[in-house]
Amino acid sequence: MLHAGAAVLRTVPTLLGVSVLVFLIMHAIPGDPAAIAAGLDASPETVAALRESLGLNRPLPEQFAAFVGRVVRGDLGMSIRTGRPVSAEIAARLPYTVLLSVASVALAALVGVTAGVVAAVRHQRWIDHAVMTLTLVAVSTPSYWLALMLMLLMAVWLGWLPAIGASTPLHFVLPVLTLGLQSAGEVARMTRATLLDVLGDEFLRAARARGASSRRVLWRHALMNAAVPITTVLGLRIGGLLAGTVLVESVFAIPGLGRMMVDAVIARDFPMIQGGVLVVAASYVLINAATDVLASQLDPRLRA
Amino acid sequence: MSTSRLPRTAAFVALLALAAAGIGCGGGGGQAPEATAPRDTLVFSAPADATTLDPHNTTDTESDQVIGMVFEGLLGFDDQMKIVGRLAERWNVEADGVTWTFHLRRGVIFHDGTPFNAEAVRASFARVLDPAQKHKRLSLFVMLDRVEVVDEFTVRLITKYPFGAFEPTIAHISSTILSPAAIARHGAAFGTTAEATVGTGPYRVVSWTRDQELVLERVESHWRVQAPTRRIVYRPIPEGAARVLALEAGDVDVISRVPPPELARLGASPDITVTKTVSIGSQQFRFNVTRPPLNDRRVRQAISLAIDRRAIVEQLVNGFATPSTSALTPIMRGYAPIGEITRDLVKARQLLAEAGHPNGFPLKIATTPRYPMGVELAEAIAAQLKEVGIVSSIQVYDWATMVQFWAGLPPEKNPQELFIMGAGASTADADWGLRPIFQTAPTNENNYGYYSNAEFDEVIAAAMRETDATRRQALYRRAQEIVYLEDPGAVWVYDNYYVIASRRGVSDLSPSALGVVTFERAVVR
Repeated sequence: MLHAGAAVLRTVPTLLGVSVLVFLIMHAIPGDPAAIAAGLDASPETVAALRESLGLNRPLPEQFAAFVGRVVRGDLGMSIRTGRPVSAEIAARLPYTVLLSVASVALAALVGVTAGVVAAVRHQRWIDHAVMTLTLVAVSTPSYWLALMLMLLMAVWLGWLPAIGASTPLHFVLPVLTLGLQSAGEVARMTRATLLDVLGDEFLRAARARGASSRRVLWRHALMNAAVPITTVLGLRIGGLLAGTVLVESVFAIPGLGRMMVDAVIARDFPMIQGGVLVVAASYVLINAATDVLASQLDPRLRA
Repeated sequence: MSTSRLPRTAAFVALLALAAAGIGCGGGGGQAPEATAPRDTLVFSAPADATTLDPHNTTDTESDQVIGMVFEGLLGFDDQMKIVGRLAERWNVEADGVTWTFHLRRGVIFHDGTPFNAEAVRASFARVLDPAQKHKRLSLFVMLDRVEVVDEFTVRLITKYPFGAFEPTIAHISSTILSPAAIARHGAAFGTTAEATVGTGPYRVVSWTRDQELVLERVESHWRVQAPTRRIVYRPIPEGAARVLALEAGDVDVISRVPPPELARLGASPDITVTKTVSIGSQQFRFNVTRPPLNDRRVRQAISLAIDRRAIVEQLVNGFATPSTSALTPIMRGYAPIGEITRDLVKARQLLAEAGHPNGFPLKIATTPRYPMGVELAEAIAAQLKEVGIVSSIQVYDWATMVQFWAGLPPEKNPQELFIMGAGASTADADWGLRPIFQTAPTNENNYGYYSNAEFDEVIAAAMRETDATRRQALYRRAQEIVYLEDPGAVWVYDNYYVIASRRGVSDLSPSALGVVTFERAVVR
C-alpha cells in the first residue's frame, strides 16, 4: 500500500515536467491559434481581439502560471476551436479511447500469451514456426494498411461488419483487431522467448524432479515467472495505446482522444493540447505505477 | 485439472484470429438488396465535423454544410447561385442606394416555436454587429450601419455607403436569422450544442456528438420545402481512403472530398455516382510582389505563361478541375471570361530576357498539404518553370505555420515568394473575391502577396459602390484584366469542381458552387 502511495506521489513531478515541456513546445512552434480560429478572411482587429480574450498577449510565465493555477482547481480551460470546456471535450472522448485500448490489450494478452505458450511448448515444431511467421507478419504490418485491408475484407467484400463509426459494439471489432493483433504479435514473441528462457532453468528441472507434472510445471512455475515481463509489456502497451490510437481512430472515424489531439494540434488549440497531454501523461504514469505494483505482487523480489 | 484443455482450445482460437487477419480472399458479395421504397435516413461523410453551428462564427465548409440546412436568411442562393428571396418575400433599395427594405414572409416559425418577424431580424444582425461579442464574421458586415424595424413584417437595413455586393452578403450563410429566444437563452453558446442551435430551416438539429454523429430531423410542414428524407446523419471520416471504403461498404450514402486518385475507380463503379459541380473555388499560386524579381510584372507574366495548366489538370487531378479562365470562377457574380492562359515558352523566355533574367533565377515555392495535391502541384510547377531556367526550391508547411505568414506581416518580415492559395469568396461575388485580396494594403492581413496596382484600386473602389449591374460588370471586367493578365497577382492554375460521390439509389442531391451539398430534396432508395 505504501508502495502504491509512493508511486502515485512520484507522478506529480513527472506531470509538472510534461506540462512545462508541452507548454514550451507549443509556443516554440510557429502558428497563432487566434489567426486560425478567426479564419482566413478575418480582419486583424478580430484576430487581435481574439488573441486578447484568449490571454495570448500575456507573458509566457504568466500564461503558464495561470494554466497551472486552473489545473490545480480542476479547470482545464476552454477549447479555442470548439468553444466548449476542455474537460467536457476530454470526458466525451476518453471512454472511446479507453475502451479501444483495454479491449485491444485484452485481445493481445489472450491471443499473444496463448500463441507464445504454444510456440514455446512446441519449440521447433511446425506450430512454433507458424506462430513465429504469423507474429512477424503481425508486428511488421503497418496498422494503417492493416486497418484498410480489414475494412475492405470484412465490410466491403463480406459485409459482415460495419466499416466505420462507434455506435455499437460491432463497430469496435475491426479497430480492436487492428490494434490488438499487432500487440498480440509482440506479446507472443515476448512470451515465447521468456518461457524458453525459463523452461531451461534449474528450478524447473528441480520441480520436475520432485514429480510435478509437466503441465503443472508450465502453468505454476514457468508461466508465473514469465508473468512479470508480460505484465510490464502489457502495461506499457495500454499506456502507449492511449496515446497511439490516433491513426486507428482516424481511419475508423472513432471520436476518441487521439483524433481530438490531432485536430487540436492542427488548430494550435493550446488549452485542448495542454489538457489532452496532461490526461494522457497522467494515465500513462498511473498505469505504469499500477503495473509496478502488480509486478511486485507477482514477484516478491521486487517488493524491496 | 479442470483447465487442462484450455491451452489447446485457446491456441486454436488464437490461430483462427490470426488467420482471419491473413485471409486475402476476394468475395463477390456486398450486393445490397435493391429496395424501392424510400428510406428515411441519409448518412453523409465529410473529412471533419462541423466546428460550430453559430452562423456568426462559421468560417469552414463543414460548419456551413449543416448551418445551410438548419437556418435561412432573408435572401439565399439557388442551385445556379442566383439570388432568391427566402424569409423576405420581396425587397427593394431606395434611390439613395443605402436603404434596403425587406418585406418578410408571414407565418414562419423557428424550431423552438418563436415566431419569425422583423424583431428577429433585428436581434440577429444586432448580435453579429456588436463588436463586444467578437464574432468571427463581423468583418463581413462592416458596410452595415443599422437595422430598423418598420412594422412586424417590414425591416430596413441601412448601409454606410452604397454597396454593390449587398444582396450576396445578405444571401451569405452568416446573414441567416437566429431565433431571438435562443439568442437570449444561450448567448455566446448559441450553436455549440444541438439544443442551442435554432433556426427556421427545413431541418432541425436533434443531437450532436462531436466528431461522431450530428443528426438532423425534418421539420414537418415547413413553409418552403417538405423534405422527402426524414433524418440526415453527418458522420465525419477524416481518412480519405476510409471514407471511400465506408461508401462502398454501404455504411454511408454520400461522401465529399473524394481523394483525386480514387476518382477514376469510383467513376467506373456501377454502384457509385460521382457528381462534379462548378464551384467558387480556384487553386492559385500567389506572388509576393515585393520580392525581386517578382516585383517586375514581366517576370510574373513569364511565370504564368510557363505553366502548363492542361497537363496539371489532366495528370494531377484526373480532370476533376478545369483550367482557370479569369481571376474569378464562371459561377461568380462579376466574372469576366478572359480566357485560359495557354503555355507559351517562347513568349515566357522573351519576357524574362526583357526583364533582365534571360537565364532564369532561383525561386522559392511555399505549399501545404492542406490543399488537395498541394505538394504535388508545387512539384509540377517547379518542373515546368525549370524549362525557362527558373530553379525552384519547394517549402512544405503545415497549415498553422502557413497561416502565420498571412496574418498581417509587413513585407520585410515575409520571406515567401510564390505561395499556394485556395480561394473562394463565400458570397460568390466579385467584391469579396477581389477587393480584400488584391486591394493595396499596408500589411498582408488579406492581401497576402502585397499586391498593389493604382488602376486596380480605383476600379475596385468604384465597383464596390456601384449598384447598377451593367456598369458594375464593366468595372469588374477591367479589374480582372489587370490582375489576371496585365499585372498578374497570381498564377491561377485551375477552378475546382466540388466533387461528391453517392451510392446508387441516392438521388436529388443539391451540391452547390459554395462547396456544400444540401439534402432538402434528397431521396434515398
